[in-house]
Amino acid sequence: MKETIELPSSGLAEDILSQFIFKAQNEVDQVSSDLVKDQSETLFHLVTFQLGNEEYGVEIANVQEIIRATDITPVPGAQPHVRGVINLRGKIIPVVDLRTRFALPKVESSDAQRIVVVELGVKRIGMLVDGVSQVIKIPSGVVEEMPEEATSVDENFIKGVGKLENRLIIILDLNKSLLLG
Amino acid sequence: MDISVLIEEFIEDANSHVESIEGSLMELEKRWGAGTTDKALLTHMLGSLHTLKGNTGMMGFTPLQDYVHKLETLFKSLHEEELLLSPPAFEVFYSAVSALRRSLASLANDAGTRLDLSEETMLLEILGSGAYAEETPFQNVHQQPPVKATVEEHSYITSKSTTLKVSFEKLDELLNLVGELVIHKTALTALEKRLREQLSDRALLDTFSEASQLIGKSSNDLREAIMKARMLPIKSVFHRFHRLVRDHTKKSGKEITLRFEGEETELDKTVIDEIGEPLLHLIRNAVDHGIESKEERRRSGKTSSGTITLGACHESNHIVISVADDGKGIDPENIRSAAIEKGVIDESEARNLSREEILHLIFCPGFSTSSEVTETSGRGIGLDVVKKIVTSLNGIIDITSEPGKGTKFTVKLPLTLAIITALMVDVGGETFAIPLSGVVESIKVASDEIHMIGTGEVINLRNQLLPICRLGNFFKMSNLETKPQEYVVVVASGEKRGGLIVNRLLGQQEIVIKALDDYLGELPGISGGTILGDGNISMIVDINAVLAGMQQIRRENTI
Repeated sequence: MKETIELPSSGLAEDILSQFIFKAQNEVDQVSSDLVKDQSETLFHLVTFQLGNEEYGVEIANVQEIIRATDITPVPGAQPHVRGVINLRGKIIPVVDLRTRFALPKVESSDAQRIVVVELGVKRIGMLVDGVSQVIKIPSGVVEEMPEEATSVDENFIKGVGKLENRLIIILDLNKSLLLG
Repeated sequence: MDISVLIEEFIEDANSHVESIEGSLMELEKRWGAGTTDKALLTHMLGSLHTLKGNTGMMGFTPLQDYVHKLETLFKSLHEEELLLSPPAFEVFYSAVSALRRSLASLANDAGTRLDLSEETMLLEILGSGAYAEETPFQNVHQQPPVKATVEEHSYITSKSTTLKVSFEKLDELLNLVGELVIHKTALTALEKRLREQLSDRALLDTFSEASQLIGKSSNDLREAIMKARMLPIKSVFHRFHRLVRDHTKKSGKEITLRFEGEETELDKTVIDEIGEPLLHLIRNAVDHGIESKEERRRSGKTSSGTITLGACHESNHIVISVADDGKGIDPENIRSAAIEKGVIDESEARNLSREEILHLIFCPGFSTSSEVTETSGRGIGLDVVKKIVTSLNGIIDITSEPGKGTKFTVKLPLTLAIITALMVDVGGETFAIPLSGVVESIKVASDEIHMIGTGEVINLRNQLLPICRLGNFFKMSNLETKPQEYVVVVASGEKRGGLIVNRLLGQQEIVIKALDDYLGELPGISGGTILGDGNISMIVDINAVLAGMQQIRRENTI
């Protein structure tokens, strides 16, 4: 088993292989978390959150903190996907409504909503999401580059899709998700 | 070792050495002119050069290190009296200081820059070879008993030791932290209210509220103390112009003395940062167009040396900075005819203008009476740019001039650009801050007094038609209401006036201006944001942009 994982790691063949490995390991280990213990493979360390019907993930290294979505001050004249600004310990930072950004229907505000504050170079930007799920480590082997399956997000924003036993995690490319152009 | 981490620190340190060397050099020149060669100053400069040499070596900037080494050698021979001071020697030293500064600037830009100092090095070598040696009165001078250097005389050398260099970011961070403290204090007040409802122990409650008030007072004191820490004497800006004026006098043959008044006046760092550029233009203007040549001055019975006076003082809530010269002054008639010729105004208009109004024409774009282009002030930068900068800082610029006697420019600026007093208003449930400096008055108007004339709404305010605009509409906000009585905030910016309809007036407040992230893009009518005492954010209205926007909208509707 271990030998199989250490095969040259590039190209489509690797993807197919990793799918096989994933399935095989699922049969053996039942739970994906056991994969994490295998240090021979790089891991995606993600913060996942809910948006519409999908679960999204961003790399934890980019996440500064997660806060409740209260007191967002609207900014007149800003782009439609900018929900407003918040006061993060004395700093004013912009908040992007990911629903608007990804052309998803609007929803009423709820208690579950959170703002995921991410660092983008020197910038700090908040992302308004429906709710935060968990912090998870997944091996790069189960991450597939954007497949052809339909999602409600423009493909450009997606770095890859993490395929776990019974769920899919859409891993966002922060630069493309938040910055325009 | 990773150099990039060190480079910033190195550049800052090196620059302070170069500054100190330049300062000492000017002092040395002054004293040399008075007949003494100050050995203590030379020792001080040698110290700075030596440190600089060591540091450049450590950073691996070999060409720069070699150059500093040669410079140090020259100063050593000055100290040993193998080499004597002379006017050309000073020229070489000043150009060396400039070369050092240039090199540091290019290293700061890109640490990998390959410095070429061969020309500058040659200058040093020529000086070292004694080719510049002249017979100077200096040779007699050093036979005199050395002047005893008193402590007071050298106080400028040590004057920096009582201060501590702190980066502005750190102070800003402190201010942010205090902001947080104020917010937590609000939470404490809310808690106190709840406790009063549930507890019956009055003594305990009073102790609690006393403690809470003390915390509030301390946080306010702390905020003020930090604001004070951001204040710097304007001296640091004024002294930068020494060099400019000195270089210019050498080049033009004019003789100019630069004088300072009130250089200890303290300004907020935000103002210090912005004031340099407008002052530079004003001083260039005085140097080029104000002060006459020596001959001209003598002919008109003045001393051959002209004087430019930089002044600063506090005036209530403002800081007043002035640039005055005792030069030829400005003849309003010249301005009048030049303005007509350049099409800035037409003849009939020009006839109705007062003397002051005519002088103010020189701030109009496209106006420049001098047709000649000089190195100092002929870079296409006119007084209109100065006015623009001053206005953008919420300031006022004024000019007085008397032909034959001189010209004085006065710039009046707010004490700080970080804190302003604002009129807080409610529009569609959001709080906006309107800078009080642009508010003329606020009035209550019945809705039937608002008339639709042509493409926009107006009110009749004391027999003058005032265009008005609903701020909520301007910002394209939803859930706006019209009421039988509307509040109108009358605002002005330059010549433009207008009324802004708001839902409610919430009162005046001091606010700390914070720039908004450029991620938000261009925000018409918004100049920044501020965090209120309760932690909420409010947008600051850009009066000038709103008034301009109103005109724009009216014009578009007409078409």
